[in-house]
Amino acid sequence: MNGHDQNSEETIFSAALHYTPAERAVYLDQACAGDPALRQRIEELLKAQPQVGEFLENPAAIGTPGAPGTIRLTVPPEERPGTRIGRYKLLQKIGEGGCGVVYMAEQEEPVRRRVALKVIKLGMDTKSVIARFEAERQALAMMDHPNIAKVLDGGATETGRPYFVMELVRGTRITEFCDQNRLPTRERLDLFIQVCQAVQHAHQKGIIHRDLKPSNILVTLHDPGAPGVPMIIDFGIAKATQGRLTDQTLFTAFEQFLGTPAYMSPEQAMITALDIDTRSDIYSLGVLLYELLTGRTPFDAKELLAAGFEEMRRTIREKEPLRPSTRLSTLLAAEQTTAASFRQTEPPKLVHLVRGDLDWIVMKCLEKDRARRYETANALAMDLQRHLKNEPVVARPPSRLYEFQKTVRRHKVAFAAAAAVMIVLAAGVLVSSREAARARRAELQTRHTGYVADMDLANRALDEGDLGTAQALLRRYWPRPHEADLRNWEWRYLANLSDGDRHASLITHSASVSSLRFLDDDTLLTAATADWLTVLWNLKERRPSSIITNRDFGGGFSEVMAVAPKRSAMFYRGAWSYTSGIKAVDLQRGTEGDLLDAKAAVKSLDISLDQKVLAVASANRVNLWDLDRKTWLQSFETEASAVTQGLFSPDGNLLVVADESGQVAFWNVAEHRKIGVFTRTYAQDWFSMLRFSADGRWLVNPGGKSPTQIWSAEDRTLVAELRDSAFIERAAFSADGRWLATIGGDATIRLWETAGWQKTRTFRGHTDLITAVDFSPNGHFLASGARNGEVKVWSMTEPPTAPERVSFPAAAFFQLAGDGSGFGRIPMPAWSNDVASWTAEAWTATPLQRTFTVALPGPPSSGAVLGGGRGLVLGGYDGSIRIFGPVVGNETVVSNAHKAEVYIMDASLDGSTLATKGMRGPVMPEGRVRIWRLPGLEPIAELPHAGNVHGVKLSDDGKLLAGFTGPGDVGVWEIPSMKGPPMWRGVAALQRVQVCAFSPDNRWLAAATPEDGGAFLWDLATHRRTVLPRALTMYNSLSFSPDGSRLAAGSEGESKLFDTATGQTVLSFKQHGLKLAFGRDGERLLAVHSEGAYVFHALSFEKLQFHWLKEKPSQEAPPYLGPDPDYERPDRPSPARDR
Amino acid sequence: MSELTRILHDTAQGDSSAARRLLPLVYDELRQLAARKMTRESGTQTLQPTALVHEAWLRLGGDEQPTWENRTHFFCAAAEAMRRILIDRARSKQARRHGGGQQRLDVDEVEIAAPMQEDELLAVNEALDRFSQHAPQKAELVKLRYFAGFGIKEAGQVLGISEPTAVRWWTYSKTWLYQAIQETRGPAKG
Repeated sequence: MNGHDQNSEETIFSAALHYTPAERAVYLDQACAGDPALRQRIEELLKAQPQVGEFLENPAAIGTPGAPGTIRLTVPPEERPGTRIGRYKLLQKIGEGGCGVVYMAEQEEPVRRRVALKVIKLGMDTKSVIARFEAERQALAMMDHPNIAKVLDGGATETGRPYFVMELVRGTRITEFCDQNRLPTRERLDLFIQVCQAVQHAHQKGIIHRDLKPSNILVTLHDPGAPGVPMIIDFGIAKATQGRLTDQTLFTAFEQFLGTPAYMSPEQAMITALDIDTRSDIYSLGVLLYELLTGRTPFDAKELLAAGFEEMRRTIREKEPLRPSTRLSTLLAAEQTTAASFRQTEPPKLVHLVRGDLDWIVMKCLEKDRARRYETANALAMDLQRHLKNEPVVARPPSRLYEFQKTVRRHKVAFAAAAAVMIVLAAGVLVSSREAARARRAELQTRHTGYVADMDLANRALDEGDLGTAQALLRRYWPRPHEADLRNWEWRYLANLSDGDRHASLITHSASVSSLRFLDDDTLLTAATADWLTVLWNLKERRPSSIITNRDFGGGFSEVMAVAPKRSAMFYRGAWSYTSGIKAVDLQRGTEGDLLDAKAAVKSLDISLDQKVLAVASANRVNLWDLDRKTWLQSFETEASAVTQGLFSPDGNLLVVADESGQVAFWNVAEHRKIGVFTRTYAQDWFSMLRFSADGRWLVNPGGKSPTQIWSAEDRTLVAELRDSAFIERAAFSADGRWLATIGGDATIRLWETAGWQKTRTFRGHTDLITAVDFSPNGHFLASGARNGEVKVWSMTEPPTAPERVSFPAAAFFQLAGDGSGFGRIPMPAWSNDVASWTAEAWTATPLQRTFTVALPGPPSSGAVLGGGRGLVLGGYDGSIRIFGPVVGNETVVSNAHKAEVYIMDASLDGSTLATKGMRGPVMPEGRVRIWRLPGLEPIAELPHAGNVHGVKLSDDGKLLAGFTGPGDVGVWEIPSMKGPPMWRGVAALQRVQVCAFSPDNRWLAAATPEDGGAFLWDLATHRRTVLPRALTMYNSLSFSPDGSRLAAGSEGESKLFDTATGQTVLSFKQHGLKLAFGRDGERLLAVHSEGAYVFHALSFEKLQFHWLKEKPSQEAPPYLGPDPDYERPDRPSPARDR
Repeated sequence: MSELTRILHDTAQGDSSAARRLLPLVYDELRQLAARKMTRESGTQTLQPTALVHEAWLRLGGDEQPTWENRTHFFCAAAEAMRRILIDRARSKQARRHGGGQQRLDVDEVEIAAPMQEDELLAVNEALDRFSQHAPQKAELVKLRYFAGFGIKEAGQVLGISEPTAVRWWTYSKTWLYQAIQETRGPAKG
């Protein structure tokens, strides 16, 4: 390469770059004429040039680990033997790894013992490492297994590096141990099975290792000659030291890429490794088994590293490793002999031993698609045990289809390589369409992962009432042209919540809204404190019909306190500190009347029913002012202290006078006679304005931080106390007396049903503290105003968007209709004279209401609910089956359906079919499941030999029956031909299946085993099985969305929604989900537990408002009204102006 | 007159030993700067070589030094100094990794991100030695860009060449080095 003038080489090269490939040849012929070596050299350079890419573009640097193009300064460890870290004294260094340095250390308190202390290397965010460790600490503490080294402690050293303290294990790496002791394959498998069992234990406690490799599995010898005991170390440390991407750090690039390349699972090699689960550990176990059997890892670590980072990730994700036996036979002769002698055998025998079962078991662990791996470490261990016992193993040689798929995948790698070459040759002109398709798939997958994460974030934002953030997150997935629409139930559910409750915004004021009054159903008066504007809104047209400026009081605060629509007048008071007067304003013309001097600060104003008399509270009395005659009438004095409020009863006959001592006196106005008094228990403050219900029955006294009290106006006794987490400043009754709205503490309006004084609805949509509230006279609307000047009008007639809820006393039993349209419940019995009386209730979901209640002869032993809460089917302890409908007395009873207790029952969603199983006597179950035709209860079929069936589930159409038998078995039979073995059978796990669901199209079957929190999903057509993540501690219920694309799973504390295709969690609910069912309209999800029920609404796209999706405010958006350009400083009162 | 100024002055006078005397001065200053930064900031941010070099320039007297040519000398010396610092670090790290004197670590124990860059760094360094015999001025450009972190325009200014020429040189040098590294790696990779 030398010998040429570098300048001519550079010049020719640079020039050649500007030519097309065809022109280049001609140019080079000329330029390099007579110098073939130069020509060759230039061609080499030209060939290399397109590959250069980012090479050298990132300057070498000193600094942050992991940042592109950086080199770390190696800082010598500051810890050395003798150093103290917390309560540990370092004794000697016993190891050093990529992740940190391990010392033997001595703990003195509270017990004296030797421990292993691992100091993590510099460069990690110590705080988050420790936070993650703390988060997992409890789970780690629950691990108690003889083959797991306990993690005892963790913290930060004085130099700020995280450290972990573990049980001290003195041992040799499992691979070295096996080779040093020349363990034959059988003994290696025994050791490996122990490792699997330990991993299983950890997985059951919810801990994933994430970094299983020989250096983390040490074998110790307790006694010479005794078998070695494997110990797994570092549990929980990988998780603490690796960033958890699911939470806040969502789209930050992946940080520390620890892990060991040879042991890293394909999903860990993904940049967006969002959901590492237990199956990643299964993969690593497979690599370990591979190495124990062959002495090699499936991919050579050195080769992986040498190939470069991207290539390494691609290999792990895409390349199929050789089977262990194939790998053995491809080793060099000498290597083969070594491998065999380490296992006390000869090469041909070793290959023979590994070929077959062990090949398949290993390869099943190493599946790229984790759904195809063993579900649990236990399953892997059991398969190995089956192999050792010469029983057939679960792992199977692949089917032809599977082989074909793998071929395609292999060729994809080859094709990609070929494509890369082509691209180089054609300088990026040619792009393969298959390559593009692959890129699209990858893109879609990335988008889907982002989608799932964003839905979670949106859900959290909504929990905090942050509608804006949720809207922004949801808006990202509004499909653009040529883009797959990822939105599903959860999106609609969250979009519905993000819309807030149905309301119209009338953004007006530039200051806190102080007053809100409906003048009639279509006219709303709003006024704000500091912008001196009063606005009359025409609600039909959503625009202001009149805007009035009240600026005469000048100083700061003014408050409209009384409105007299008949007189077309409103009355407002000035701030206490400035004036003591009242002004009337003409609502039509906006002109102001004279100042009415109250001589002292005005505390409140109220207008009489006939709108002729104004009650003015100031000093220690309430004075009545005759508006027509403009004279003072009577005066009502308080006993001793200053008055806080004077208000008329709705009929105008009574005047209520409240004072600061808490006394509330009732006066007969006509007779000027005090007829009674009550004393407020809590708040007597200025903010706590009493308000009558429209019928005059109740007075509400907002309690602030204390309970809000409801007083009877008739006998002045306490009716109810409302307790709320939020501060309650104001309250208003609806005209029909059904609702009480309270506000004050936050950006929500809480609605209480006066029937039981329960808080049943919350209106969300404001983004600032709410300061005023009023109902429209017809009760259809509720208006609210907030501190930021926003005014909103809410619909009282549309269903709430937040999960609807009813609460009731604990039930003895409850059951849900399969379509979420209703449920049935059996309340705890009422006792009288030691005799229990039992009732059953049927409920509908929308609205949540009871349809009927029936009395029962005794407690039911099992039950089912017909769709829509139309009817209840109940089994009795006497072997009877009864069907109840809404018409009392019209019951169907089969009294001897079974010999004794009917203990298993399910009804199909379409109401056509019922399956039951009963007892033969007090102990023995019957050996069959009976199938009945509804509603007549005619027996139509029997499932014989079903003695061990402990649960059944009918498909929605009543054509399939799933029976749960034995440990983990689910069988599916066709109705009515139920002779013989099931048409389909699946094994879920080792635990008993307790809940099960068919998808509406009978394509999917989901089953869960509550004891170990496992849930499984089968594609009944292909038998493909997906394991759902252990996202819930228990799976108590399962239900498919109507199109089968989502599966809801519920437990006692929370519920989750899964994507059926990928098994990913797409939504979490905080609400109970002991029984869950999707509505068949795809809009609702009903969840019932012992003491309540919820309906989650996901409105269809057509029904969602999406006002926030619109980029620009619509034409109908109301005008922004303040501040007034003529605004003058309020502390310089200006003369009143006519408008 | 600072020592730097004197040396630069000498260089300008054609004293060939002056360039050799310049390097240790810059080298020591850069090392100290880097070490101080590292301890103070403990890895919370990347130390940009450009920043280091410019800081070293300022500390050693800055624009007090008279001519462009002196600046060129200084920055080329600084680039060379940065190169040595980075290579020393990479070598010692690699030596530790491959068992040189210290406890041996397995390949599978080593984290992936850093070694890749160390390897690249050392490979570039090696190829650059050969390149500087082939095209010394262009090798200076690479040092300024890659080790001292200069932008292409800045580096061109230091070397006194136009921007288009700097771009052309840079493309050629990158390709040359890339091809040279590939050539040595080729057989091993199979």
